[in-house]
Amino acid sequence: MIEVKSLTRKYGDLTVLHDVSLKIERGEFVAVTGPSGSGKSTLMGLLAGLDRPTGGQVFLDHEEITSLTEEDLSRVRGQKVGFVFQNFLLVQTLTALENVMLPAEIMGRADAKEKAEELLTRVGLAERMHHYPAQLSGGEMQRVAIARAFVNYPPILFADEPTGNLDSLNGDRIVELLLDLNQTYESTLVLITHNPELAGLSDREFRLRDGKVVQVVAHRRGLRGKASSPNGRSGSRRPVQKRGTRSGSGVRK
Amino acid sequence: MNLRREIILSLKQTRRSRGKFLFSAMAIVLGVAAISAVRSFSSSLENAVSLESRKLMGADMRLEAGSSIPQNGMTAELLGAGARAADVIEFNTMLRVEKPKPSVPLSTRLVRVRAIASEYPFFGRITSEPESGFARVREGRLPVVLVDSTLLPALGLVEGDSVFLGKQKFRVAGVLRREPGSPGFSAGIGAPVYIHVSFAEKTGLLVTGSRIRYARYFKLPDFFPVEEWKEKHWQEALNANITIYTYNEAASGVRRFMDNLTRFMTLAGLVILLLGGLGIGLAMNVFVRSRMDDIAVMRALGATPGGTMRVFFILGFLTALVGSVLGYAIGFFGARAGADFGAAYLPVEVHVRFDALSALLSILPGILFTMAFVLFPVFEIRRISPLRVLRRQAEDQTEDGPGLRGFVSKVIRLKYEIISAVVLASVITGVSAGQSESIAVGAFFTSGVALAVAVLYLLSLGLIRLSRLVMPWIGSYRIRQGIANLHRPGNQTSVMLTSAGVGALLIVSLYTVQATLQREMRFDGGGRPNLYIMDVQPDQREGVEAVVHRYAASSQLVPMVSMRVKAINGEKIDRSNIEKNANRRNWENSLRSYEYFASYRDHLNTSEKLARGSFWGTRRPENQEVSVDERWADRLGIRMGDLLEFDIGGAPFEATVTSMRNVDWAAMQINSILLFSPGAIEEAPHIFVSSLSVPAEKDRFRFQEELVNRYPNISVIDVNQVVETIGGIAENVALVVRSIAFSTLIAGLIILTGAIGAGRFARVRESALFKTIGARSRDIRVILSTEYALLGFLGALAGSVLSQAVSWPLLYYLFDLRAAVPLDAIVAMSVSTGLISTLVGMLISRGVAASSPLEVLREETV
Repeated sequence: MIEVKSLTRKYGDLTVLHDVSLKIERGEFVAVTGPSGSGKSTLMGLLAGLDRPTGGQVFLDHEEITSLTEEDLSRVRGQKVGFVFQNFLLVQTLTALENVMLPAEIMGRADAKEKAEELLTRVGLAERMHHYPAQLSGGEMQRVAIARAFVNYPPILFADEPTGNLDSLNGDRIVELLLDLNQTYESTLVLITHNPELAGLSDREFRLRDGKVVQVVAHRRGLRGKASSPNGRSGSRRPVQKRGTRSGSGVRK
Repeated sequence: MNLRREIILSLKQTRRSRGKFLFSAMAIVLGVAAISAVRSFSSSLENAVSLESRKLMGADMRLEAGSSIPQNGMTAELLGAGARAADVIEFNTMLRVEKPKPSVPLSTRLVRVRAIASEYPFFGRITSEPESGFARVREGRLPVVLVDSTLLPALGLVEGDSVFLGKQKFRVAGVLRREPGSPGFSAGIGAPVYIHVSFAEKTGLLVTGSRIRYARYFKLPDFFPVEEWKEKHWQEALNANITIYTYNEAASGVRRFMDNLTRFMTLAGLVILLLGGLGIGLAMNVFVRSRMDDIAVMRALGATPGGTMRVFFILGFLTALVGSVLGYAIGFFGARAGADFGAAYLPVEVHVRFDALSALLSILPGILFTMAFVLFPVFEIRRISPLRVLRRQAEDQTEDGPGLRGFVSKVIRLKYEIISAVVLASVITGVSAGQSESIAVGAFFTSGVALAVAVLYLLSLGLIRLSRLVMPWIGSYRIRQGIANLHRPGNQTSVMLTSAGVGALLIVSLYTVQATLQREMRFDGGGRPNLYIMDVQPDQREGVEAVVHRYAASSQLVPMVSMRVKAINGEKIDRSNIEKNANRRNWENSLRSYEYFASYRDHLNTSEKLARGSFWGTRRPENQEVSVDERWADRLGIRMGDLLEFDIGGAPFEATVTSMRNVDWAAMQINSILLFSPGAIEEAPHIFVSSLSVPAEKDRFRFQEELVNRYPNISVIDVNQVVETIGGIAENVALVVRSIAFSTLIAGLIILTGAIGAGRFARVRESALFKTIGARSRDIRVILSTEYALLGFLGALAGSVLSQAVSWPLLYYLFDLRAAVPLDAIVAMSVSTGLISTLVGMLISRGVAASSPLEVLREETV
């Protein structure tokens, strides 16, 4: 589903992501973890086609996206990718319903409204469809964002700290909803998080440090507790160690 | 996304800011209103004049000359072809009441006499009260006169009273109601009166040297090729000092006036549109900045850069469309009201009707200007990376290297700005050229605007540097921070200084021109003459002088000789390129055929300066010398030492150009373009004229009465009366100009708001951070108001100073006036802009200083 080969991203002289290669299978739930500045968001930006790498390749659904034009990248995002952000990032001037309809409308789908209403009902916001973001609570806004993320049935979903701005109760509900919808629509979920519990729910966890994948941990579906190589094959229990990087330290099991 | 969805989405985008968009569209409304009002009015007038042109002229064709038109040649040819002719003689003189009414202070008044033949007019009607009045004039049996209605109250006249025109007594047969041509515009000097042409000679006023116009009107047979005939005989007529006018040139004076007014209003309207476009551009810039996160989200959700840009482009278009249509409607109804209001001054009844082309030509500039300005912020959307959803500062951090490669990479990086600038310049040039129907005007307008913007931009760069230099020397940390804001990243110094500057430039330019013109139009002050005496014959000189000196001791009688320029250095004046159509012919074009009133003296007036050569003074040159107006000479290509040949009543006369003068015509002294050294010219037939200042109205009336009773041929122009007569028109024109200035002011304010709004984003977070580290609300207010006040003040100051570079040449070349630097206006403009900018700045940033920093930071991040 997602394949990355020797991905590098530099800002000026600063290398934020260094020679990362990995593979994520269809329907897989992976978590990307690591301390601040380790390159998590940069990696997600590149995987989702929001940014362009300095070197390397990204394949989404077998389509190499790094050489695409901006227009084509937009199409790929619209068709293949859904997003949930920490800050919800709802368009403030649109109602909950209109926010959810937006990606479908961008894709020119005729059933945007019906699908949006269905999803909003599914996330428990049937009564709040015509409210503006400012009239919703944080948890509700994130539910709208989740509904929006699924409206185009994207095969891949990226979630950036989706519970980061929520209390634990609301956070739990959101995770439940996310995983439920993920299962329903059989999408691939890439979750960026600081939260080890959340990461623990994933199939595999990519641990980043200083712009490199320093460890891949398998959690569920028979891989729990095992480390694997970044390209999706199961491997030794030892954390993946690249030449010139420190291993182990600060890495949770 | 399809277009419908894009339009809906663009409307949704403005849900919380429609008021702001409508506010920014105000300037477009005003600009389009100005353009559409004048366009609707002038095109309706043009239509009405075209439809009624024969009635306006009263004939198919007119031959006009300064002396009696011979009955042979062209005239004979026309009569032979079956045409009918009617003579009309026009001249100015004083109308005297035979028995002055004790209740009325005035018994004499300058009038414009139209002495008509019985056949005139062939088309249209002259109406009078009673109806029989005009019929009696037309009969030509008795000496009767039809007088303008304004003369009744002024002189206390009633029907049947006796009045004198020159030596001839006339009985008042009635009051003139309507005549062909323009009652309002021809009434500039002297109210019209009608007599029969057979009595013209008997007035004793048809003497050489007076300004008399002889016209012969023709009714031509059906299908007579009038324009071809004119074309064929034009040169021949010109050589005989006769001008041919066809009915197509009827009311050419009004048409030219409307043309000029249209041009002025259109350019002023374009200026407002320019400000309006800039205003909407800035508002869009603010809007795009405030929507950066939303745009990034839309992009992340799959919207293409082109699609996102289209949404905002549509938004700009809709704003421009609403503003332009609203402006057109206001202008259209304004033109209707203007037609009703100006009915008294117009030669024809004007019905302002909806005209699709005129509507399109008014609305289009509003839309085009706005769209051209909106391109900049819309292209900016391309730079908003979808990555912003993850990282706020996901901006293009590309650095251009040094040298040519760096330059090329910079050009590539800025390609959208360059495209926008090219589109903008093309739109401004195209629209202004289209509206003024002149590519030169379009190019001049655009380069003027570009130059002004460039100068203001450079000044802003200078200010940024300066603020860096002075900052360390400022003691107060609040003021220091305020000044530092001028050069900090995210500063709005260039945008604001340029926009406030352009606004101030236009407003102060308009004010300078208006104030200078108004100052020049003031006839009552500064000891400037308010009475002009014309047509004094040589034998009346001493007697007139005696009367004059009792009212104004210093006044002098000046001799005037009427003449035409015949040849320069033996080469006959080329009259072949004189504009044949009176609707397009201006005074500059008539210089070669003009009849000049020349004078002779041995000294220079206080209102003239020697520009080139040496003046003869008391020296008596052997050969005749002439000193000419420098600008006149430049226009005719006359140089120092040239030998000029003149035609004085058929007799040739030569003089060498030995000096050139710079004449201040606005001083209203009696001056002449051609000034001769005393000598042989004194023998030529001449008249005397004089000017004097008599402040008290009572004295002025007594003076006119005394002089005209003794010398009936003499005309006295009472400037105050003329001002009264044309005052109505002038007042209305001034109203139009004032409304334009006001509209410019509003447009300037809108821009200022836009510019401040654009800077808000940089300051809001910063202020919140200041508060986080302990700054009080008061500190924030002082910091922000220092920045806004400085930007507003300095921008307006720069623009005001620059405005002098615009208004000086404009006044000098167009009106021959020297502008007075309006220091009061410059100070008022700068200080008020500083204050308004502070006020608007504080209003826009309200809440920043008062609210908790966390609130602001959270609001700004989410």
